[in-house]
Amino acid sequence: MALEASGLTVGYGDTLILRDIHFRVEAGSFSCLLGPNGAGKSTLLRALVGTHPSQGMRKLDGAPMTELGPRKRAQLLGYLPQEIQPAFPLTVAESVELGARVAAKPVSIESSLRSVDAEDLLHRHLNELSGGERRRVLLAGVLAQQPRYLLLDEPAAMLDLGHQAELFDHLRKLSKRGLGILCVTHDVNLAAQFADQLHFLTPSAKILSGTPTELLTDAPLRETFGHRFEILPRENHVPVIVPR
Amino acid sequence: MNFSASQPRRCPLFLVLGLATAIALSFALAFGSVSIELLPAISDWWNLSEDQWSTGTHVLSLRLPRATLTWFAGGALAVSGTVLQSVLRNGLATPFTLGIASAGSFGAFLWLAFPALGVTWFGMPLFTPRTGALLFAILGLALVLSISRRSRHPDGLLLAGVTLSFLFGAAMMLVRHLADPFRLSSMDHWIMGSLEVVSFKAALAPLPWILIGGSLIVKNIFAMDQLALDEEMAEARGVAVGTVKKQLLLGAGLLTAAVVAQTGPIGFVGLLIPHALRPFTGNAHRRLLPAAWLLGGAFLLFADLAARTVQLSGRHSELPVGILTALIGGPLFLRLLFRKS
Repeated sequence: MALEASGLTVGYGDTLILRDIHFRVEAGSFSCLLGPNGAGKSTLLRALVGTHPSQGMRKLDGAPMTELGPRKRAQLLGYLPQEIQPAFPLTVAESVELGARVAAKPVSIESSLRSVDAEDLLHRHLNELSGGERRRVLLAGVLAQQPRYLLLDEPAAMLDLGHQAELFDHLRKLSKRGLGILCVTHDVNLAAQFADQLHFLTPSAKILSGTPTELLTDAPLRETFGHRFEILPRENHVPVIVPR
Repeated sequence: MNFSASQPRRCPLFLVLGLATAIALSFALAFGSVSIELLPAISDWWNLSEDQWSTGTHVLSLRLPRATLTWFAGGALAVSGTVLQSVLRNGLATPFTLGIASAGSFGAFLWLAFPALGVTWFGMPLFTPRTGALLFAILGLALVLSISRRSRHPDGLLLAGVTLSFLFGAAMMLVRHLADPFRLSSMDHWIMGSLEVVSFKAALAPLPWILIGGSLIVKNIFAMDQLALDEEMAEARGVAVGTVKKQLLLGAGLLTAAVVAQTGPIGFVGLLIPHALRPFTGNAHRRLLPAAWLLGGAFLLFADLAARTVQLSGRHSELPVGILTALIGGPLFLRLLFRKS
């Protein structure tokens, strides 16, 4: 049971961004995708979801995604883009309901909001919320789809430290309940602390995959980010990375 | 799905809108340059043959087609504006933003200025200013749709629509410049919008187009909600964004073309009504669109009643309804704008 991509090639017009990418997100695992700005992380997510054209094979639980109907695909695969600009000031309830409409089974808006600690925002408008509150509400909308796999593009952006930790802890718990989660983030330490698996997308569009302990070493970090970092070991914990 | 806890009750709004429609319709039939007693007139109209009708019943038989067209026109323009605001993701979009109304008006101007263009069949005109307007409105719609095929960017389509409006506007001025001076008053009358009809045949002429356009809109009513949140998320949630947008543009365009061909351009209904309703209906189009039809219809019925009864400089002459909708709609829209800000 996995979300798989093999031989995935993606470009914008004549410019090739990603070539022959092989990628796998296991059901019940929490993975983070990291890489420098402009490496193509968001493009890879879009290609996996199917909102950006790509060549190659994408499979959901063994079934080619092109053979799944659009509604079925949305019930299996939830996606939260980096930026969302609603055309009109939607209420929180309205935005979460849009996700619930896609779900195969009935789901209440309140429980979806509760899962991201945002039930008190129910009757507010999206445009009144802070950046962090907005991200949590939008995530609740994607969770209301009740997908088996979640692709999140920087869900922790604009969240304070406490809510970042809460969100990643929540994502880890969701993965323990069987969800396969792939999350783009720039915070290496946050990702290493909570994720089962890290993927580094290098500037040469190569993917390095491994556990946090395997990847938080000098060579992969330097190949991906082009800098040397200090790797501070911790007993029984993943190391902490600080810039030199 | 259980959304009951989070949804405020909406039923009273539709009750209010239904009542407003009934009152507007009754007033539109009962009042005008001559006031009639409505219930006896309706009873006679329904039960008696035409030669037995009272004066009131004759007046009613003239007002009924007009009220029908007015209700269709107000409803269709309000729905068209609501759809275009959602598809173009722009609160300033109106049924006339895409240039369809200007194209239609250009068609009407051509036939008004040069009646020789009218092809006849056994002495009956095949082309009238109204068919000319419909022909060119649909041509304008086809142009807009072909532009939308090339550009997926909503602002691209909006700018193309504004450009088409200017182009057809300039073409209209050229036709006006070339026309015989004695034809100018009929052209001016057209451009100010009018709901004058004397037969049900003319009043119901927009109906087939409204039904086709309306069914395209209803088919995509849930997808429209997803589009309003975010196009990329909508696509990830299974909405065929490109196809849905084209069908919605076609639907809203047909509604506009049908109305403009029959009444000329009547402004502000399509801009004002969606903005006035959103605070009460929310953004779900399954509530917003029926409410827009009801309020748009009632608004235009009241505006037309005012246009028929208002006395300017002591003269009891009918005011073009397009002028009145702009005079009422403009300040109302500004009030909404300031209240929101």
